[in-house]
Amino acid sequence: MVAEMTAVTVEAQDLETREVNRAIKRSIADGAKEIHVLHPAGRHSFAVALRADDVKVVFEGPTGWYTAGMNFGPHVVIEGNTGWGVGECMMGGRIEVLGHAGSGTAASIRGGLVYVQGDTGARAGIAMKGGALVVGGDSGYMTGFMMQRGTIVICGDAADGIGDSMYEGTIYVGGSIASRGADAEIEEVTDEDRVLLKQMLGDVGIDENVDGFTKIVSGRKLWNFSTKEPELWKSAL
Amino acid sequence: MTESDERHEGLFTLRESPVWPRHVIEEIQLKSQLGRYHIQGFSMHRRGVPTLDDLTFVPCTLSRVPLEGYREKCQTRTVLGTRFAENPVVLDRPITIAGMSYGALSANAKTALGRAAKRAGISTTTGDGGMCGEEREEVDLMVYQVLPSRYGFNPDHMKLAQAVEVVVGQGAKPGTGGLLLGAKVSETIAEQRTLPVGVDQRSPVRHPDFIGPDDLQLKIEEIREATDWKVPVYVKMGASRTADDVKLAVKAGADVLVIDGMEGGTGASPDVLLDHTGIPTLSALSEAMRALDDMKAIGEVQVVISGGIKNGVDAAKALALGADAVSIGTAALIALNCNAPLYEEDYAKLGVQPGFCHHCHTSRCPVGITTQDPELMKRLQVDEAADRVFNFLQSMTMEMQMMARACGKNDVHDLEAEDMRALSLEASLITGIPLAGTDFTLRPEDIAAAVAARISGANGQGH
Ligand SMILES: Cc1cc2nc3c(=O)[nH]c(=O)nc-3n(C[C@H](O)[C@H](O)[C@H](O)COP(=O)(O)O)c2cc1C
Ligand code: SF4
Repeated sequence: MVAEMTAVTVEAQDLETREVNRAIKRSIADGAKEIHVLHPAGRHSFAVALRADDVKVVFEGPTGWYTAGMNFGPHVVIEGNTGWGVGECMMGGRIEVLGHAGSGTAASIRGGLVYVQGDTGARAGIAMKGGALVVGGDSGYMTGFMMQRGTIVICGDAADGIGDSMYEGTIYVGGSIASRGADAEIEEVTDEDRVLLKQMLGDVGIDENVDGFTKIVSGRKLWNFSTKEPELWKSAL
Repeated sequence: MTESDERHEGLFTLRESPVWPRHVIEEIQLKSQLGRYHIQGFSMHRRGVPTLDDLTFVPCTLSRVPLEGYREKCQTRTVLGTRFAENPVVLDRPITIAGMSYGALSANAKTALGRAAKRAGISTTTGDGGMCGEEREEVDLMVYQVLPSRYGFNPDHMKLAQAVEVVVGQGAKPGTGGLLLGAKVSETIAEQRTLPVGVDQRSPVRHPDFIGPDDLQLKIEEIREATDWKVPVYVKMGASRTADDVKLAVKAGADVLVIDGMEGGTGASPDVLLDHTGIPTLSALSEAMRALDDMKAIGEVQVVISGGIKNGVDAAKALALGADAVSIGTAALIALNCNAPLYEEDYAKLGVQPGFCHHCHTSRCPVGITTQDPELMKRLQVDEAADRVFNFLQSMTMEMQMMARACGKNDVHDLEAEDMRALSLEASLITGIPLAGTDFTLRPEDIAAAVAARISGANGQGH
């Protein structure tokens, strides 16, 4: 029985979002290991708050907002573009977007990996609390805003304000940086960083020379208020 | 004696300038040291704001029949979240404990609030920083907040909750995010929030994954999917442009609106935001009910009002104005012992006395409520503190019932605006309730109706 159930297909076309999500959850509970959702048609809130290891959910087409948000464990693949907040607040697991992603990609994730093959909109990795975000293309305005922990890798170019007010964590950018945000500082890339970058990119199937990457970390000047940095605090607040 | 020699020694009483009273002088001198705005906890300090005190009940005499004040049954059961959720929240009484963050509050304070809430059959709410495990163990009904910072946010915890509250803002500082100064970011709190120990944590005000009301609609849908449409979704807002905000939140799909007036308490806020932003609780509730009425959503979407609710009378008046429940923060803390005359030497170290303290942001709370210092925390004995809060909740309930019975109602939810009169012209204008001693109000639509009636009466006479 279980063997028959390991691969399942859900046709989303004629189902409410609620029914699609219930079908996914039911399939997982029944022991399915791979679930293919057909015709997601850019709709929102698919595959959210799932808690399961060893399960792959594949959307055969673009999805809307909050795909795979709040998950703990599953491997979600979106074969197309996706909307805002993909993977938001994920605790663990893996998300692969085989297209572009909207704003707030991987917002506030605490663990796991979000990989976007194309570009991301504004505020990718905002308030990240752990885990990793890898962007194959370019990233939008204020990537890594108020990031707390974890790692962001942007292979392409980063728009204005990257790393603004980040508390901790590390951002690597392969291309150009339009501007850094408040208290985001450049640090020298070490051999350890290069090993990490190679491994993170290899994990998502990118074989790229990592020598040209720039590393951004927190300057830690916004951790505690100081009258000695009036300009920084005026713009930060 | 030359003019510049004039000293008036002993001639005049000391007079404070109304433009530059002592607290303004102190403030300027404080800011000239700090180089930033002033931060404080507790509540606002400005005067002259219209409040629920500006209303009075007009109980039964000859024109209405009262219920026996001390004994006849008067229901307090309250249901929140009847619009879309499979399992609405059922409270024994129309009170909730407001979201106060674990971090702003000590674990002991959270635990005591939880224990009291469970005994009273009401809900408590998490806060910025996520769920406090000790509190969760105590309570049956927990409202889980989804805040812009998402500090400590854990979907597993959200799934355990009986309701989810999306926080758009709070009354103490609408339009600005939370604040937890370094002294309170202890190792435990830092770990819970994924922050470095000791940072001055200034939380964001915008959510990381949505911005406007249309986005909120999608966020609410996502939360419903995440919780399988079982639990209600509340939307909490600081009272600002309340009529518009209420309409947008209802359209976005909220089950319950939690509206926090400008009197709303806080663990820490810039004082300028406390005193100079938002609208009073009385105004907010009146606006909210009119907006719901416009949308024909009264009864479908429930309203919880907060901000300076200090007893059962305030709660009864709020219910009479249309609220389904009140939420209390500061009053619950005061019941815990906030500003109680204990450890007076420690209040003195903060430069205050019991009754004047607003130093929750310092982590030096003399009575162990708003602190992360393990020694100070011990001063709050959970059992006794929970008893005090429970007793206070009981007193609030009895006061509410007392007002309802006097007005002839056997359910506190049957109280209505007609059971009250305004004691000030302002309150009358805000609420649409006649000023005591009159039978009319001066709201534009009422004036227009009165004029129209006169004109048609005059026309009628001419025929
Ligand atoms: C110590 C303290 C901490 C608070 N923390 C939060 C919070 O984390 N999230 C939130 O939405 N509101 C927070 N508030 C505001 C309360 O939820 C509530 O809106 C307010 O206390 C109501 O006003 P009242 O204190 O006059 O009853 C806090 C209030 C206090 C006093
Ligand atoms: S006594 Fe404690 S809780 Fe009350 S105002 Fe002072 S510091 Fe805040």
